[in-house]
Amino acid sequence: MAKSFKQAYKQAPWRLQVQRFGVIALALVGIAIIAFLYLNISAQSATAGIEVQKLEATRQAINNENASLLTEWADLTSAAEMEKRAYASGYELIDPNNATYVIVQGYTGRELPDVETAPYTKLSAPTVIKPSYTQSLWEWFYDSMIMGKNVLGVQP
Amino acid sequence: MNQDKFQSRIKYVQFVFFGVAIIIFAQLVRILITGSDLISPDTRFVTYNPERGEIYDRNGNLFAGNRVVYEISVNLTTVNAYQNQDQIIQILFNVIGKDYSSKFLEAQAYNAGQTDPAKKIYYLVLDDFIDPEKISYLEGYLEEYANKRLDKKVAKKLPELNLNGLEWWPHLVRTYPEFSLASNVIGFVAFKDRTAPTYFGIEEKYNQLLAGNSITIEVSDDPNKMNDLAEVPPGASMILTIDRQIQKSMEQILDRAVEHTGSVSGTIIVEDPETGEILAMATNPRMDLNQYSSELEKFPEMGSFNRAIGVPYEPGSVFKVITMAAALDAGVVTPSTTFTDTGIIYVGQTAIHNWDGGAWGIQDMQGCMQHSLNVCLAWIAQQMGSDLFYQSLDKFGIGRSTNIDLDGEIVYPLSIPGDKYWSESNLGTNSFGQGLATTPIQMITAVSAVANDGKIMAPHVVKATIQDGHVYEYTPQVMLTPIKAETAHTLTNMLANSLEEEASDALIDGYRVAGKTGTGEIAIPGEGYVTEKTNASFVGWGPTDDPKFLVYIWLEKPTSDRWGSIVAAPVFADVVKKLVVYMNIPPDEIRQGLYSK
Repeated sequence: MAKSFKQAYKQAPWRLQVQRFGVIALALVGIAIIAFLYLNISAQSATAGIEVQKLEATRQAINNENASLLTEWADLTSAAEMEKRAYASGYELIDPNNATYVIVQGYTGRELPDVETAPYTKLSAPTVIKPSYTQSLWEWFYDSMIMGKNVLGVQP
Repeated sequence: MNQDKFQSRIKYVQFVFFGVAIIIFAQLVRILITGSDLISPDTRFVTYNPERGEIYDRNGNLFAGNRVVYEISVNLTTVNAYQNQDQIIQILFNVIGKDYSSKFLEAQAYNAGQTDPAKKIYYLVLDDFIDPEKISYLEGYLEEYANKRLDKKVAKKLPELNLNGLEWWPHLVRTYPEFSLASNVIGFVAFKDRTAPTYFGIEEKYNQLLAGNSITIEVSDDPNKMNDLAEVPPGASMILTIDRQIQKSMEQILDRAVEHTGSVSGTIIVEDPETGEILAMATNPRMDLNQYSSELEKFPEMGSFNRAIGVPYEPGSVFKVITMAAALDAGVVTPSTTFTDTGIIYVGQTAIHNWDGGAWGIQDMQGCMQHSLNVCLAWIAQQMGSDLFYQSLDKFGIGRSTNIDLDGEIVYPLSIPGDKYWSESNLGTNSFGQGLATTPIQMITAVSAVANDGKIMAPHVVKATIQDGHVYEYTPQVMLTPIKAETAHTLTNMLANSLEEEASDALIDGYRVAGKTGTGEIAIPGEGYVTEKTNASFVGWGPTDDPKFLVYIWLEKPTSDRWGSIVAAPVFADVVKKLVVYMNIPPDEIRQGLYSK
């Protein structure tokens, strides 16, 4: 009797199939959500990475510019230039016998110059960003699938 | 709903899902096994050279720095993909003014002959050391072009500019804003060679400190892997003891002297005897360090890049300062010891004469120095005996390196008793600076004992090193103490009196200085010593009561006159006239008056 009772309330096969499909669909949705979250965070991480790279490149460029400006300053104040400017301004070398000398109490002579040195540099050796990271999905699809280009290169 | 129809639809959906899953799985397998442009990007190893440290003079003026230049290159894979090679060549020709088509052809020909893909050229460097101005012009040109194309009417006429694959990267190269000033001290970096080898001077001696530590890293094009960036310290910077103004002034004086005397070359060293700091080291010829490849031919002989440390020569009578100091210190003679000069003395098998061939009669030791009598000095060396004489030379560091912190110091070995090439006559000739060879730096270092209370301070050109934000200042060190302070003062007075009584051209108003001339004969292989070719020298210091400067002058083979007293002594006066101004040294009377207050 018990057996026939169960049989009497057995789910219809199509209902079971719907249930199975529902479970699979639920799992797939779950996977899709996880994949979405993963891709979203990866994309944000990549964006941050690119931003870091850009900032490091900017810092490196500023360091380079500082080095160049220091040299430019040295060019403008070189011994030859300063001598030219001194003579042009009417200066001449003093005769030590006609100079006035005074004792400056507490003066111990010139101290070491306070020179600027380059800061530490974060490595940002020439890394390049592939178009794959900057193209939209459509651009990538258009270039690689429709135009058939093997887009591996970079732009400055 | 028809159940069969429903079930078949379900099967279709299942099949689609299953198919998609299979495709995703296959794609994952492909990515994992073969790699992908997106997920597994290419990585490469890049050697990163930190910024090379700067070199400054003692007042913070830059001697050696860095400037930005650009490398222009193309990624051939991209250029091949976009077929834009001609456009790149045309744009670069318009902007840079150079035709790079041959570079492309060479690379293509090379790649065509390569079967191994790993050996093919993918990254082609078109040019390097491009000025930033040209790159700015290129960037401006591209921006302007892009702006023009914003207008749709104009865009139809102007073709799209496709420079995909073209890259330009900045990098630093060495530059020398003072050109040839102190070039012999600084040396240079051959920056056009990307391995940047260094030559001579500070650049080579301290290359490891200046260059810092190169780091090779694996560079990924995956932005996800860009977070962990190692920090690279720059190379150490250096502050030299050289005073730019004094150096320039010495070079001007030296260039004039070489020209006026018709000398082959010349050297002037200025040292602070109390510390061993080299304030100036001028040599002639010099070179523009920025043009090293074309200027290097000025120095065909070994060591001639910096003659002050690299070219040994027979110094002649300036060496008598060392002989007399040693004899006075050992008590072999006193200033009042007399010697009867007959004009000739035999030491070993060699007859030694005076510079004029004359006999000067009875002379005290000051007279011997004042008239620079070879016969007298040879007699003194005989009185000392060879053991004591050569021990004394060793105490002065003769025949040994001074270990100055510059690359390229040369030492000519001193023959001493027991050596194959030593004979007794060497004792006589060595006493007045012949038959041995020293460099100007060795001479000034030895004589500094007389100018600095008997102590020789280690000569050096680096005053401080700046590394990791810390300043490491050099502490002056006593290298040798060959004589007593009393001996040094006695000899200084003798030499100052000598100059005054001779009314030497080395004297200047208001300042008491001590010094000694030297005329060294030059031995030519096969001919022996030839009198018409000499090395004219002068060593002097002052003020005598508190020496602040010690000067060594060498003019090689002067043609206007052969004597050091004629050609080198006036140069010393010129040097001192400048030094007292730049070093703020008042005339003796004023200085002593100020001290008494």
